[in-house]
Amino acid sequence: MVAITGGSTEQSVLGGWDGFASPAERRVAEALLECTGRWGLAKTTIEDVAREAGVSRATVYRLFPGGKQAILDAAARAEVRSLVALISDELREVDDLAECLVRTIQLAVTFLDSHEALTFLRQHEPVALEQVLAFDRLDAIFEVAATVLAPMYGRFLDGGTAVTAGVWVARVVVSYLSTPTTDADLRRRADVERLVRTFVLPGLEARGGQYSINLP
Amino acid sequence: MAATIRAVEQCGVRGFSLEDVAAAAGVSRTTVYRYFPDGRQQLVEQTATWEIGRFWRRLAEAVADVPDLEDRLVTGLVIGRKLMTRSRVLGSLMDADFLELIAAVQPSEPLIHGVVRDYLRDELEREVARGNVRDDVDTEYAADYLTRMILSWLGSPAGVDLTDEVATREVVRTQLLAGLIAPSQ
Repeated sequence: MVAITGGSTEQSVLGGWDGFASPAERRVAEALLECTGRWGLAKTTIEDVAREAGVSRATVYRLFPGGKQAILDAAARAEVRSLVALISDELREVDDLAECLVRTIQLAVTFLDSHEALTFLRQHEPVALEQVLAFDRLDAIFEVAATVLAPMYGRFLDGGTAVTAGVWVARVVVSYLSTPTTDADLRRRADVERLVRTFVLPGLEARGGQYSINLP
Repeated sequence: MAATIRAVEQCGVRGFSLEDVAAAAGVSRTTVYRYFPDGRQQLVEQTATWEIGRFWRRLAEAVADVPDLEDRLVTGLVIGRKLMTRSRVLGSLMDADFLELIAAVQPSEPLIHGVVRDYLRDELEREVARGNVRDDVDTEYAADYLTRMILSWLGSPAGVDLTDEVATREVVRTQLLAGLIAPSQ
């Protein structure tokens, strides 16, 4: 098992391919997550982020003209990418679709559960978290997850179905984490297996390929 | 509140003022304050809640006469998505910059989840009795799953055009019902 420590730099296992144009951009995004994990999003200022990242305030604004929200969006997408990279690493040797799906969900839940910035927001700033996960932003997150998960599922499924499976898994993780229920606790492997067996596998088998997801 | 919706439709959530609302409702600013003593914030919150209630009522009406569960889910998603994109208030909700709307709506989410889940559980029990849904299905568990999928798909279709009935039917068949329908079907 890979050690999972939410919000740290080691997660960027894909090296340069993390969606950032420059190392400075990545440092700024990571700095925002650091600060958020420490004292929340509302109290984090651009000055805090600049200091944490070791750049000037002007640099932060030059890299992210949209300010805090733009950094947060970029950071969220980057975290999804590094989570998926971690999953890809883990699943390379697994040669069974059901097992891949179950492990994807488990790894995602463990990662997001131990994520410091996310935990702070969930406990103290639910509205800010809701904003990160709101509708169109969530679309973007699902699309990132699907793009990166698809090649992994593509070993067992055709291309379109693999993308569908990626979005589906992301949808399940976000829903059960943001509105938990004791009937289906995704921290328990048995519950994840039940979900995958009951809904996801029959659905993937039944897919006739009549719709496709248009990724940008 | 109807006047608030009109004011929001004209000026957007950010732009409208209590004066606009009073003018649209044909009452004085004082009257607006009498009903909404906490002013703008209260008005936004209650209007958002009201609009969401209206959304679900319209959706329930739209599917009420559809007999088949699959058709009902398809109709619900297609019409739900159309209503969401058409309503200025709900449209603003999808724009994550409107923090005040998100804050206003967040507390009602578990309530919505519960209402939709209970509705779907009753639906599923009826379908089990009719033999359309496998009789070993745990209806409570399945209704909760369907609720999640519906809320998630309505809010974030992630590249699928839900107003296209063919695409939506495929989503319903595969991601919502595939694990539930009786094997003979």
